[in-house]
Amino acid sequence: MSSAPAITRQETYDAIVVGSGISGGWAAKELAEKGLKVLLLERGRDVKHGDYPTAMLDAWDFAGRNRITATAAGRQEKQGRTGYTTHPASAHWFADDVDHPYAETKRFDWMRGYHVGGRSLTWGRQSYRFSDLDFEANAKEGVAVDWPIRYADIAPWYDHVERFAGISGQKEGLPQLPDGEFLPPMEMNVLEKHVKRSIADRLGGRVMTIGRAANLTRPHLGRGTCQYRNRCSRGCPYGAYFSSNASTLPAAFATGNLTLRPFAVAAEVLYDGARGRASGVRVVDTVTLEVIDYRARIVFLCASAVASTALLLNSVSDRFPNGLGNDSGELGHNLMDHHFKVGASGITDAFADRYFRGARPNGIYIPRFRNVDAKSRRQDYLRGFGYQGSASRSDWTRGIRELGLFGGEFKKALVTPGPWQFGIGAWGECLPYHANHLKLDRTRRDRWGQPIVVFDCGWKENELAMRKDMQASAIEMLEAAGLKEIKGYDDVVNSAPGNCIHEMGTARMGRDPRTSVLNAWNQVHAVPNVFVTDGACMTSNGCVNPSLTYMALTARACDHAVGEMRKLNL
Amino acid sequence: MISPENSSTTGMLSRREALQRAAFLLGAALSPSIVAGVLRAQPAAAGARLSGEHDLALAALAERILPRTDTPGAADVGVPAFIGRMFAEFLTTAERSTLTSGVTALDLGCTARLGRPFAALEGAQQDDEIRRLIGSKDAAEREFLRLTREVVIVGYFTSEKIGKTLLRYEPVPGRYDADIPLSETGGAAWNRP
Repeated sequence: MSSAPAITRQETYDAIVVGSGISGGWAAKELAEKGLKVLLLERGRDVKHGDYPTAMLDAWDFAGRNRITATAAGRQEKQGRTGYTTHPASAHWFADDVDHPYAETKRFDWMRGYHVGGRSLTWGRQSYRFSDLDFEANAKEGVAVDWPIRYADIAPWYDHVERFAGISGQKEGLPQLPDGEFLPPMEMNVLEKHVKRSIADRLGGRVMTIGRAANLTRPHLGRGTCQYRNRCSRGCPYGAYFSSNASTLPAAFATGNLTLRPFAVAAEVLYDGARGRASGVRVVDTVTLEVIDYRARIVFLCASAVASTALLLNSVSDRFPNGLGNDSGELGHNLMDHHFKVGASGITDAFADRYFRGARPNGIYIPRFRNVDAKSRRQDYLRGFGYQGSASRSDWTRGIRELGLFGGEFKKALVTPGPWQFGIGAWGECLPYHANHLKLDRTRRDRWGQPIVVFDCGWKENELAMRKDMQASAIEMLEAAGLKEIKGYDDVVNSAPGNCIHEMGTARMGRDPRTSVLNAWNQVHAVPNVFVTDGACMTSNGCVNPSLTYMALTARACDHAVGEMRKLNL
Repeated sequence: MISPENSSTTGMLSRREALQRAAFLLGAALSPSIVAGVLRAQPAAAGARLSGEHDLALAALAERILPRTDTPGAADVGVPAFIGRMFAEFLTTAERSTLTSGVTALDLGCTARLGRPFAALEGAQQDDEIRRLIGSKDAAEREFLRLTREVVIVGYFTSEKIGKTLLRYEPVPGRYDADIPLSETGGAAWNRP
């Protein structure tokens, strides 16, 4: 426990939400709309919708074109590990690794967005539902612990969040990828349509669908239609994709019940041992270093999986010497991410006279087809994977790889589009392993006195066996489509845990307080007025992009919390 | 060959002087557009910069990689200045070292074999030197060529002039047409978003 800080003031609210990203924005909106006075804490700066400094810039407007300065890159060494996050158009949406250090027993790529909106500004926007294939897997296979919920519990909440967020997509009727409340789908281009037909015809009806994306294909609840600029990660001036800034926070502010407090890093959840409840959250003002205690009847932790877990681990008391709610010893364990950067690409001479207009900020999706029924059962690994990808015509950047070419003809060729190419990469499920964990190093602290996080997480046999099939199946599909120059790849080194930015699982939901941290309503088992609804709550990680599930679980938990408050249980 | 710069004013003067001296020593073989392009380069307020000789060699290399034809060449769209800016602020220490070692070796080799540094060679001789680098078994030479090509190609195709005139520029398409005839863009590729 930190030495007695100087508490300069106290304020009281009905609810405190920690973190303003996808989960925190939803918690703020749902709780405020239900009439609660909500304090939303954000450790970083404020970002109002529209305050996106690079949104309208072209490549030539950046001094280094596609690069940030060497000095800036040196301050974002870890944030740059994805290869795309620290592009000058979006680097300001990622944390400074010097000011925000963490340690790695094994490499872990922890991408963080420290500003209002968090990573909702930069997320990939792919939005898929988990199915009972996911919710039942642990129980059926005897892996880790059972999810305390099933698809029927979350389905109405998927409906609820999809209606507000606006998800474009195509219904396919697949049990492993439930359909949702979709806006009109985006269209596939000519090569994508060809590949779709080919794999359906030649691989037993295998499905390829357009990506289900939180990009608007028509005006929706006051937000504008996608303009097909594919500059989403800069922030969208049209509000054409879902972010906290464009979507949930304006709705929450409209109630008059929301107070936003940026520059406030949560240091610990305050625990009232006499009542057996949390009493609020202690924060450090990141600018003045003032320490402030905010009080509330309920606390929602939505700071992202790792940060919410670290906050609980740092909240120690006589009752909880190992971190708030950590009776099970599972807090910080079962860290998961999706493993990816494996797949294949190929080209074709076909459609040479066809092209497209507009930069579609979305690709195609090939839903999981392994271990979905008896026929697709694999002996070499559990669970499965889905593919994301797209077809396009290469542009001048191909010239960088054409090392033997130069001169006038070379220059002329690069002005024209190259051959059509199609590439897919697989996103694979990772099992929850107790050994994969994070912990706090209390001997090392950041500028605000908070202990730093240490990661120890790695892929194991199941993931590595799955990767072989992820590559082989990609090649098989491209061959079925008749592509040429097919190249498989498996960059397992750069698919380090964290790199997919789907980190989750470190405060898992479960049925038994002895083996899990949260119950079926995302409440900390032993401290029921603390809810954790970001990725930390996940009991397994499926193979689909998880943000939509965080939204649905958050809205569901908010509804439960307010119901319990009305019944005076909280 | 990396010299620190204390202020942009004195830096600009010393840079201009160094370039004029280098250009004078190299003689008339230099293209005026290359010298002008190099002189337009904005040196960084702080940071490393290329020597005049290196500036000229890289500018000449850029112009052979993407020469002026019926469309602009590298120098026409400011690639030499871009190389200087990248070197000063954006390349890593290792990349800067690759460029300076590579261009030093190139000039030494050209002088030893042909009696002149790279920038002062005839165009055909410069192309032969590039072909020699392409076929080189030396990893440092290959990496020098790879990095130089990358900076030159990026600098050229991300310039405003090329992005708005040679490529098709439509910053706010407003819609996605999944299938159009290539003839609708006149055969040109879209500018990258």
